[in-house]
Amino acid sequence: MSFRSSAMLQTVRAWLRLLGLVLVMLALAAIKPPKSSLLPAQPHTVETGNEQICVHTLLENEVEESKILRSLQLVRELGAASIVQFFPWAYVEAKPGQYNWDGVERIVQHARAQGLRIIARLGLVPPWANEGEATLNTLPDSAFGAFAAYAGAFAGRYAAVVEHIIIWNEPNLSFEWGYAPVDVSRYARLLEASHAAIKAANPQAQVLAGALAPTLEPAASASGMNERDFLLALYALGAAAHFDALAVHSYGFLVPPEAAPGWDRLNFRRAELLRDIMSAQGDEDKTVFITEFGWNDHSRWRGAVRPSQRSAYTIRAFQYAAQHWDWVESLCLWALRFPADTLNSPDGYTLYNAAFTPKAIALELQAYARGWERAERHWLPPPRASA
Amino acid sequence: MSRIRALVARGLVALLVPALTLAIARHYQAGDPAIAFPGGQIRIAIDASQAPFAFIENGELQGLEVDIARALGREIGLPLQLVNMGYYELYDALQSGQVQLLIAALRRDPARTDWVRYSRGYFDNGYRILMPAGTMATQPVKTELDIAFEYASAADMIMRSWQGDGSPSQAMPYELPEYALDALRLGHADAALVDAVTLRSYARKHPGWAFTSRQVSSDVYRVALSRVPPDTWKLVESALSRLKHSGELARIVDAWL
Repeated sequence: MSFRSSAMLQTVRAWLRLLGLVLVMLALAAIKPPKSSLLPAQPHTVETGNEQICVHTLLENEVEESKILRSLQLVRELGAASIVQFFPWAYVEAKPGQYNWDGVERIVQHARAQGLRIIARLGLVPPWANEGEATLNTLPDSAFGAFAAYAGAFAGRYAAVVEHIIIWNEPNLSFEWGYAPVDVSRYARLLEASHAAIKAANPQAQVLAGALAPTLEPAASASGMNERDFLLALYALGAAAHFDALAVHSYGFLVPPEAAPGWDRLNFRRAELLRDIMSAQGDEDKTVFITEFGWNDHSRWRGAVRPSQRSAYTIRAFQYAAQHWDWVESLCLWALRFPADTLNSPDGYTLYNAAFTPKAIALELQAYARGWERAERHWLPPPRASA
Repeated sequence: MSRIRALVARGLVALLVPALTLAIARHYQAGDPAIAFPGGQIRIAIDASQAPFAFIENGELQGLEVDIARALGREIGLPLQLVNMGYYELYDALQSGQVQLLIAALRRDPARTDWVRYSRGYFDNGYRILMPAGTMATQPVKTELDIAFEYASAADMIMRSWQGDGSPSQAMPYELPEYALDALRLGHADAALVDAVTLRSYARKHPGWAFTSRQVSSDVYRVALSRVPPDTWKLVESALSRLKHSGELARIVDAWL
């Protein structure tokens, strides 16, 4: 072999090596990222005696995937068929037009794997969309289209898995508008734009209006507007065409779940009054999702009941709804667990602490939902002095 | 003559320099009120939803934490402005500078310590295990006791944790924490597990009752403030220290609990 042909051979070999390397790199690039190793091989199913049982999760700020998995396992083990979960717009579209679904994806995948229905709540404004306002609840009119586009993109991407989407949160409170006065017509326009975008992406999706906060605030209040006035105004604006179901928050406050409702008081059955308005407006075919409810059992907070009361009231609320509220699709308890305990009164609403230790109410709810044998009384009678 | 003058001058310098240094050091150590509270008053957020720590009666803010706030104002030597707000507003108000101190049954929150500094505790509402006077075992949890507590409370979680760790004790849940203490006082239970607030108010109603207790968890309430400027923390910390050592802090706690 001549020197020249040997040099040519070496050159060819070098090119072949380079080509091989490029092919390997291309092959590696073509491989899709593997599914999470934490996902089960087969999806689970929820075993429950009451399909209305639902829990509000707070997984959007959970950093560790294993904690998302554990949280959703606990929901299934509780016997809850559904979750309400917040999917913040600001997290997904940090830059205009660039959606990053990673955070949503892992929650949705794990919820599906546990056999849970997802009721998605959308909100929280990216800084680029709120004209530099300090609060991420400030939504200028100019951003309605961008929010609706996000809602549409969400509905389209998760068409096979998420069929219930709540537009905004507690639109009858000024806090939820960045402390701006409550304006029903603005919410009606946001609802209309979002409804159109969602239906275009997934005609099967159910658009939920609300979720209305329980409040006695009169129409002129700077803090908010009572749900009655808000819902009547929403109907008066013709918004009925732009939602498929109503989302309501129906906390129990300091009274038992059976306490009679009235517009002058806040209690669990206040949802019935909103249902009456829907019926009067000819909207009785639509269902209601109670996307937050519950009692607080913090030891000192004035808005709390005793832990024994909270546990009993919660079970009785599920029983009451199962017996009397066939128009309610889901009754969602606030809240499963916070990623970090607040170390204050809000912790009185959770079923598990941040370390996943169950509170007695979680065990009680699980026994009820799963149809396990339950003690008639969980505590001893008050002690008396011996005669 | 000039030698005497020189000696006097040296003597004065020898006295003044250390005194001045000490004064500057003490000033630095104690913090400067003009830097800590530039408006000439201390703005404090109180959450008046947790009696007896803070509540509103006859339109007035009252409670243990209100009295602590007033005592801090006296110690620091500035007038107070107390602002009532709910839990969710507290840290936002501190971060935005609307208030300089939070006194609202707050525990040290590790998630906030990058910008929030917490003072020494002014009250510990941790759980205590109680037994009849003179009967406290060295390790009560490891002995077989019938322990009374409030059902579904934090005591319930502690009890389940002990049982999970192999404690042979038996659970005696009651609807209210006062019933758990009744059970111990009346001899129906060997021990009771309650928090400090419950114990103090119960003991006040039963002054002749003799018991012994041991703390099993801590739940320390602290003043929260911004890390900047550091003078705020120095002033609050030294004022709280003086209140503690003078007995004033204990007097305030005893007055309410």
